[in-house]
This record gives sequence, structure tokens and C-alpha cells, in this order.
Amino acid sequence: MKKLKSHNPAPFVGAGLRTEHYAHIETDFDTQLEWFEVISENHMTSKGRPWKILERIRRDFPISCHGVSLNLGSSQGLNYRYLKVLKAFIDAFRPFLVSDHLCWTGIENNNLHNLLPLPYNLDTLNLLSERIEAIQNYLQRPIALENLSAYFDYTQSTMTEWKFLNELTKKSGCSLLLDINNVYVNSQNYGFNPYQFLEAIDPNHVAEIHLAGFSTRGEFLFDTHSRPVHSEVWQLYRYFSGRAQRKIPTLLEWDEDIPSFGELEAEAMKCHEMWED
Amino acid sequence: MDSFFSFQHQFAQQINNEELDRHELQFMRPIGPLAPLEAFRVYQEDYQARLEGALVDTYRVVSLYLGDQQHSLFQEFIRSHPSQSFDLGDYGGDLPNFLSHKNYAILSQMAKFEWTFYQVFNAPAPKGMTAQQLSQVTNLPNRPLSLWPYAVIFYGHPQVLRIWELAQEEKFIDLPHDNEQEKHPYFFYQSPDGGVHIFEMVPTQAQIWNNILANGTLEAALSDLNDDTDPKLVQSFCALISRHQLINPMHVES
Repeated sequence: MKKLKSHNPAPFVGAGLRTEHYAHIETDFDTQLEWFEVISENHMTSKGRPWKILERIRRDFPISCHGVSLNLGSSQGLNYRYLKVLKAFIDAFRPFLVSDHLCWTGIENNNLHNLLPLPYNLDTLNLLSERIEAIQNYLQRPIALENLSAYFDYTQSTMTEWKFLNELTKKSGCSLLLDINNVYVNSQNYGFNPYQFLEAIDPNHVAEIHLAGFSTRGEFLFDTHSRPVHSEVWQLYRYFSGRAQRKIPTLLEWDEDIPSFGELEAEAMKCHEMWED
Repeated sequence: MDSFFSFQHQFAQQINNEELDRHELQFMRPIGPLAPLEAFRVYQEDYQARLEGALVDTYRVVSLYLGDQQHSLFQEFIRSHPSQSFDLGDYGGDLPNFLSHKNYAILSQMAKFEWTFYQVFNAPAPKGMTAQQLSQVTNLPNRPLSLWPYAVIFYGHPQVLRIWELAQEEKFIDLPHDNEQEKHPYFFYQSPDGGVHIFEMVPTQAQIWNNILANGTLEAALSDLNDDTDPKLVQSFCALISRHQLINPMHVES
């Protein structure tokens, strides 16, 4: 397919826009954060206050639109009703990046609203590549896909996640939204070396990085976005930064037990220290 | 991909069941200490929590009044109502009906009230003509009018607005049992700044709104009113719908 270009140059440190911070952001734009990521579905179907607030924020900040409902691996094929709404949304707000997840989220008439893993094999690779190309052509722009934290794998998987991600970016022309917290969580649960994962990823294919905190339940780690970034995840981020030739837009996600805007900002700004090291 | 797609269907269909078929469990490879059934439970619990959270977000006052019964009642609703949209905000439109069948009469009305609120909240801001623009339209009373489609009248129990307003201040009262009382009209509209407003209409105001919807012109709408209608009520309501850009003469560019 022909190469498509994003509309805006990419900034560096950002945070996820959440309703808990609306009031602060509306009244006080004096922040060191350079951009915000919005969950597309939280805004694209509402033309009321959520839309207006995003218009207000977009006047001053670049945004990235991160979706949770593309349902790329669904048995039902692509949902063009969803894509039509998404396209109208991104055409209106001109984000520097449009992303979603490498997953399936449900079947027709039963949306699970969850990010479920896919088998990593050649059949999936071919299917997703075709779909990604169709999506990119429909949206007239490239997309990025995020690696999941997953709590089971498939007996049909024949390749590692990192190999699958590399093959997919090469074959489809999409880029990767590298969630380093998910890499760490999976590495602890699956029992692989997270540095081996990051070593295999070409930084040139990474359009955005996610950082977040996780929780533990017994021996298992869960990607809850409810805590500060774990020190091991910061180390992985520092390691991957050392391999990259440019500052990759990096986002701090925090979805549960959300702290004050100031605390969120302070945590996100630690990214600068990692790159400067 | 056929066996994987078949797995998806089984997984989705059984998300509300206690167990997964052995066949599907064999398709899942365990990760570390988490057995396939435990992994299934992780997603199942997340699914149930997400949908319940969506219901609580939309039906905040209903949830507060249900108290200890809220969790089990909402889970029962979730078991019989899979989400059919990618938009979680769309989930739960049938809850008023569900509550009605469970004999939660007033809370069923409150649920309809809250659902109406969110429909108006998520609607586009009104884009009708401003009062000044309207004043410049020639022969306005006889022009067919279009009303902003997301401003709506909700008919409910005489106390439903009061119960809702008190709940916004974390104040709660004993719910009335006289559900068969004549329903009152409540007007929901969004102002151009995006705020949602609700007020109880007097019947004359509801009649004007409905008459405009039915007849299309202001003159026709007003001619249907009784002779003893208070002109101030008419004037104030017309001023409100024009001030908030809820009205547009057809075939006139705004």
C-alpha cells in the first residue's frame, strides 16, 4: 500500500485524558505535559460536553486517539459502522496518532468490552495484515497497534509475541504502540525475559510508548493502570530509550485510583530523566 | 482461522455462564500459574464489572436507591442483556423496562429519567437560530418550524425531578408508592454551552411544544391554546426556546 503520513509532528511526554481532570485542565493550562491521549470511544459518540471539552483541549494541545473497539481479530470481519464514526472523529480532531489494540473484543451482538488476545501464527498474521491495510486505506492514514497484557495464550500460537509484532508491522505497514508495562506484566506471568522482547522490537516501528502501573494478585500481575510506574518498568523504558534514535511520544496511563493532576504530571515527567540518562 | 472463530463465539456466549466447555478450555494455553478456567474467570469478572460500572454511571440515582440490591439486580440484567454496541455509554437502555417488570415502579421511571438525561447530555449542542436572528425572520409566526430534536419532554411521576435533584445533593427520601398518579411533563434541553437543564413544565408549555411539533408553525401552535392561557407563560417559554437556540424556521439558513 502507499505510505500515508500523520497530520502533525509528534510531541514527547503526555498523559491520558480522564474525566477526573477535566475541571483542572479547563481552568489551568499551565502544564509541562505536551499532549494528551483520549480514548476515542469516550468522545466519538458524544456530541455534547465530552466533544466540547475535547475541542477546548485540542485548541492548545496535540492529541492522540486511542481506541478500544476496533475488534481487529473478530470473526465478524471489520465493523465499518464503527470505522465511519471513528473517521468522522479523527477528521474533526486531527490527532497525530490513531491507535487501537492487537486483539478481539467480541462478536456481533455481544461486545465483551475487553481486550482478548489472538493466536500468534501465520493465519492470524495474514488476516490482520489484510484488515490493517483496509483500515488504513479507509481512514487514509496509518494506525498503530498496542501489544496487550494477556492472561492466556492459545495452543495454536506458533511464534512469540515479539516476532509476531515485528512481522505484522513489516507486512501491514502499521506501527507499534509499545506498552512497556504490558511487556513487563506478561514477562512475569509467562516467564520470559522482557529485555529479549524489547531487543527484538525495532524502535523505528514504534509510534508511541505506554507506561502504567500494575497490581498483583498472589503470584500474578494484572495490568490495572492503578499505580505509579514500577521501577522495573522504568528500567525497561530507559533501556528501550537507549536503543531509539529519537524521542518517542510517551504516555502515562492511569485509569483507576486516579491521582491529582499534579501527581499525574510529576510521574509522567520522569520520562525526561530516563531519556536524558 | 475457523477453529479460532468458533472459540470466539463459545467464549462470548459463555461469558455469563459458570463454566466454559472443556473443548474451549483445551484451546487456551495456560500462562504461569493461571489455569485456563481461572483466566476465563479474569475476563468474565472484568466483563461483568465493566457492564455494571456502565449501568452505575448512567443510572446513578437508581443505583443509590437500590443500595444493597443494586449489584445482584444489575448482574441479573447483564446476564440477559449482552452489550450490542462498541459504545459502553449505549449500554442499559432496557433497564427501565427491566425494573418495571421487577415491580420497581418509581425506580423504573427514575431510570427512564436518567436515560433521557444522558441522551440529552451526549447530543450535539443546539444550533438553531439565536433570538436576534429569529427576530429578523419575516413572517415568523406562519413559517414552518423545526425544533431541536434532542430537546425532549419526559412524562413522569410528580416527584421524580425532586427525588433526582435531592440525590444530586446526596439527600434521599422515602420513595412514593402511588405510581399511578398523573404524570407531569419535564423538559430536558441542552444549552449552547453544553450544560443539560431540566424543569417541570406547566401543561400549557408542553402543549405549545407538542403543538409546534405537530403543526409546524407558531401561529398554529398558539391558536390551539385555551382562551384563559396565561400569556406570560407562553411568552416566557417562547423566549426560553429561542434564547437556547432550540428552534429554527425551516428553509432559513442559520
